[in-house]
Amino acid sequence: LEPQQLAKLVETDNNEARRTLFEAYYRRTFAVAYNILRNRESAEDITQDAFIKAFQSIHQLKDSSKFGAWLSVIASNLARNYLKRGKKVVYSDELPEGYHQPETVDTESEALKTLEVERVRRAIKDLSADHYQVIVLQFYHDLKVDEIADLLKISPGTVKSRLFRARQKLAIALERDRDPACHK
Amino acid sequence: LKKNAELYPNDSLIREALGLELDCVEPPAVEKVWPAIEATLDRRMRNGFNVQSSWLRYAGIAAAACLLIFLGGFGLFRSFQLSAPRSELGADPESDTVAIDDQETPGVGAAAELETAMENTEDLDLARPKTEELFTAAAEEDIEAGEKQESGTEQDLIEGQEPTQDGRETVTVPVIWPDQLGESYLLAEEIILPAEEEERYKVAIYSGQEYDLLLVGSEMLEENIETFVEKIGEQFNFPIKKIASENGFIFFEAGGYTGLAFKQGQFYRAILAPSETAKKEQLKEIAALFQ
Repeated sequence: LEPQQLAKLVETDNNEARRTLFEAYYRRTFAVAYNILRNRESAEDITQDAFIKAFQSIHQLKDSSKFGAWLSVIASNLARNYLKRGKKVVYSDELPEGYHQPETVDTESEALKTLEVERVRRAIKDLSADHYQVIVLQFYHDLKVDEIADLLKISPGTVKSRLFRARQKLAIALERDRDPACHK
Repeated sequence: LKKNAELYPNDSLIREALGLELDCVEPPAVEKVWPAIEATLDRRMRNGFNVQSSWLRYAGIAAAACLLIFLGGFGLFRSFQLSAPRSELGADPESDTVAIDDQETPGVGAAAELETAMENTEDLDLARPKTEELFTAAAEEDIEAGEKQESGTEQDLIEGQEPTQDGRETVTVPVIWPDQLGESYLLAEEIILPAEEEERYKVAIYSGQEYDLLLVGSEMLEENIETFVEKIGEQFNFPIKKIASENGFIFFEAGGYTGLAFKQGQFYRAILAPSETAKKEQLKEIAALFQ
């Protein structure tokens, strides 16, 4: 959605506007919840709750251009709380129905890059909810440290620390992935 | 250093991988999820409108007042239960010998009922005790734990009991604290710290985004709040450095961390934030939940 259109929809706050916002952000919100919970049913419930919570408190959103990031924070917070409250989540290593595999590539360099991206993707999957949350906000929503701190209601220092640790964990996971025999 | 730099994935790689990770997930059909959201929002908005614009609002206030009166009465009854001798609670005086033999303590039965109710409704928040009931329940658990220790030998130690570094024993107890404090703090762990002279401090650890909180309660009648704070310092091996009074709250520093003590009924409670970034106002907000 274009920023102006998004601002208008957020401001309008009627059923039609909500439906448009839902359709625009549904996929990525579900993905954020799913990537934390690794369970489709739980992710569907959390997505539903996240949109309800977001629409009910949309007047609290200071900057309408941050709607997507704000929604991600709501969804990831709900998913994190869901895990912390000890709800039973049946983890599944299998790809869910409709899960796309990356398309095959032709050249060797592209194949190597795809392989590298795939390894990083696998490493991201192993991040904790807290670390995944800041990584999504910085690299997917392109937010700055201060903006992330504002959204998560934590200090910029904590954001920096979580980002640093998240990258550290990615590096460790990648190293392990490069030489799995050493870490068995 | 160069090797470490190579190990760290660069930003564009993370961005690309994350995009792939998020785009690869295929959600359920929109038509499956949206109707439930729409219906919930409609229902809540309709309910909200009715309550705000009709006599139902006054009925709601009246119902809340009745509930408060009921809870107040119940609280008084429970306090009476804890402090009154068994014979005053309707027990047959002739059966006093039996009561002494089995050393049943008033209030323990109620605690067991509370536990059973919570186990039966594990997923329902409704089964959680109200904040104001927490420390009453805590006292009952302490009595129960005390009974077990008194009647047991060293080999009969309560299951889950672990010695701490300084030789004291901690006892893992069933969940009786609320899952959440405010919006930010989630219950992580709860322990009982038995102290000398049979005093016990019940502690719950709540994890927050910035820092964790320790909630401390005791059912012992301390001389004053300063004594209570000093004893907490001893329990946690934190020397108390500074005590200041402010609007009914006692702020203290234990081991360089901020703490807040307050009175709830006739007992004293404390919140300790083992973090340098903890703010007094945040602690006051949490304390207000218990008053």
